[in-house]
Amino acid sequence: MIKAQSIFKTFTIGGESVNVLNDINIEINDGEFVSVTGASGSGKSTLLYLLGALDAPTSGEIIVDGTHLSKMNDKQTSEYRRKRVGFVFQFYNLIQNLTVEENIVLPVVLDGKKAKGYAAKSDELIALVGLENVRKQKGALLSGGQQQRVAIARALINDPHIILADEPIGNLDSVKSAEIMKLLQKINREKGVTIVQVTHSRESVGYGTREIRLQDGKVV
Amino acid sequence: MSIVIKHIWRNIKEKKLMSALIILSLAISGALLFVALSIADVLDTVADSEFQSVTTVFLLIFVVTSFMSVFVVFSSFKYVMALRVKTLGTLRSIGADKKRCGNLLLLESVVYGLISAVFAAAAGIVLLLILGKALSGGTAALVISPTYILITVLFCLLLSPICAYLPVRASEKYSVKELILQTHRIKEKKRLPVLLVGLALTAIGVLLVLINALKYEEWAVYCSLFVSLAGFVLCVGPLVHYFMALLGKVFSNNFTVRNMRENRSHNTIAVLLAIAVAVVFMVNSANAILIGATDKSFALYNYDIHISTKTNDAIYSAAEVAQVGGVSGITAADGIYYQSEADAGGHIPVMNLYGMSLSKMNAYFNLTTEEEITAQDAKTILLSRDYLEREKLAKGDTITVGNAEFEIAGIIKEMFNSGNVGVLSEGDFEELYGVSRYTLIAAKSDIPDAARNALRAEGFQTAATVADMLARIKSINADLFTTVNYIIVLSTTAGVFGVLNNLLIAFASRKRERALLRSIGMSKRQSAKTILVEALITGLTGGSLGLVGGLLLTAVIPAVFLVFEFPVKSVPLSPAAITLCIICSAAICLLASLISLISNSKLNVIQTLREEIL
Repeated sequence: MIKAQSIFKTFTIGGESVNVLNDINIEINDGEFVSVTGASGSGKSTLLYLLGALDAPTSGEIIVDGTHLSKMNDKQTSEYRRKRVGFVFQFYNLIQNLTVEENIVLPVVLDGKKAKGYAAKSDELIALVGLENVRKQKGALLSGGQQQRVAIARALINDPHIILADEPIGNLDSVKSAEIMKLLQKINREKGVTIVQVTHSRESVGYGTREIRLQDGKVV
Repeated sequence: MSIVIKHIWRNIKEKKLMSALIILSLAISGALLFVALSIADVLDTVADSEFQSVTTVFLLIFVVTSFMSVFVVFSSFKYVMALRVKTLGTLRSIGADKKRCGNLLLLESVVYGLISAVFAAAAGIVLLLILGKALSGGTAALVISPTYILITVLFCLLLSPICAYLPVRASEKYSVKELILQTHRIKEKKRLPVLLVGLALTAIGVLLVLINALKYEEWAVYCSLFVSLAGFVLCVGPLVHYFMALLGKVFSNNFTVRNMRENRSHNTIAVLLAIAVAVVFMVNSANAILIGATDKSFALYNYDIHISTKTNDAIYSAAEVAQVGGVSGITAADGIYYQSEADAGGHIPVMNLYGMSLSKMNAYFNLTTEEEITAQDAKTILLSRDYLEREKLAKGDTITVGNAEFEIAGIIKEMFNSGNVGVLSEGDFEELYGVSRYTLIAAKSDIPDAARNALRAEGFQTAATVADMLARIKSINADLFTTVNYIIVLSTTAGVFGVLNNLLIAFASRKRERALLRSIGMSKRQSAKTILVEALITGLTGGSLGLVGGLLLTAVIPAVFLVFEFPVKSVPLSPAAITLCIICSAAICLLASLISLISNSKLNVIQTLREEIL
């Protein structure tokens, strides 16, 4: 379960304080597929980064499966991002000069384990995302949709409980967007992975189980 | 191969120019270190005492070139880190901690070091072979020490991560979010403290030279050179920045000049050029001193033919001296005693100790004493002024030479044989060294070349004209300094790569700006003009600052020469050299900007604006 309690987040831009999140309180249960929506500047991505321990709230608490994220140091948050959370970004964020297989097992390598030990798992994920034909291709040579599939497979390699997706279809056309959303939905239903996505797209909200709408930093 | 190594190797291959620059710079330094360590062993196979100081020369060249290499490699790694920001963001987002990311980047630098080490060792061996042959007239044998190879390899392996360390640590300051979103901003360094520290170091370095008490200490000279160079390198970055800011204010109506103020890449180029120009200027000033001093020194010989053995053995009898005198073309001949490196008790050795009467000295050498001396008493010695100054002796003092004491009876004014000359009477010399045969025969002639040939035909195979000797010394100096200049040119080539690289970075970083300007009406020609003006300003700035630095560093040269027991009174300044430095800097920048000009002419405005938005 993910709990965000009394979350405030303030940024200082050009000497002025901007309150991006104002007293956010949300709970996301295991296995949910939640879409966080709202206009630009409503604080959606900021909330997502807080849930992923990429940033820290100005005040408030985020508790994931009983763990208070604010009490973790850099090593612990890194481990959290490696093992308990998978990230999917709008611009894929692959390592361009690594192949599909190499990108997928990267979190394993960062965990200090041998990639060879995860060969079977990697094969399973490559099959899941439908990239068997391009497994030896480097990231730079893949299409947008293919890169996003690799990003999803990478997010799953360490069997995380949660996937956090920041505008996963923001850079894709409608056909590829549908493919990606169906894949995320499949992962949510078949593997029980909790998915929290930030999205502008009304169509993608339909793939989820719940919507949280933000406006001016508050849940509406 | 592990994924990490594959990733690093592919990174290196992707940026070929950058990688070549880093490897070349490290390899040049490594090769020079190997040569500096090994050259003495190679020249020992020839047993020629003329080359005792070569190791020191090459160590100094190594230190100077390393400064340039360090700067080039450091600024290259700063750019590499900038390129790796996106990768770092990805890795941090999927769970890599700061330490792991930092280690990955340092590992990349170690791989560069490893590749450079191979090239450094190979280039070092080739350079050693060439130098050894050049300096010994082709007789030296190649001696390769595994220990020196290992030191060279370790040097490259260590220098690379040392240069990368600060940029890597700087990248760890950014938060994960900043890295992922690439919203990190490079914090402006505090320039004024760096400038003040740099100025202080430069002043200390130069002052160390001027402080008399320490002037003759080798350690002080090396320290002063190192500290001066370090100070200059620290100063030049802030000075470039302030200079560009000043230009921007003076020419505030000029868009191009105003824009250069915060352009880091152009500032880096100017710094690179400044260091290169300073180093080249300093080395060439040293070369000019050596050439001038050699000419002056040989002008003090008042005879044409010199006969001695290579090891200065005392073998020439009076009969042989007479025989020389009787050879066709010889107008006068005399035997002279000579001892090199005469032990002087608690003082530095008298490197050139002659045993001759005053009349012989007046006849065969253009040497004069400060006070006229008509006769030299027993147990007295004449010494060069430079030697007395260095050893804090004066006329009337006593000095122990060999196992006897001599009173200093006269001061030789001229700077002859590095200013380390002593003259004993013939009787004193004979008693001191127990010799009765002369070490050298000095002869005068009408036609030196013919006389030399005639003497050789008589069996005096070592007969050489003084002109021959001068030519040989000049040739050795020329070989040495040609080699030095080749090395400086190699290092400068690495610097030119750096200039080219940074100009391309400058262009790439402002691609969007150029596309924007084009979209609102700037023509291709106007855009090209801005590139050329920026290159010209950068070149002139770098050249001018480098010249200032070079002129400051030439203050250290007299002290460096003193280490080789070569007193230098003044450093000649050539207006031609000064002009050439500035012109070359500007020319290098203009030529290197050609690639940017070509890229600019092919700029796709729409594509660029779209890409940058994404």
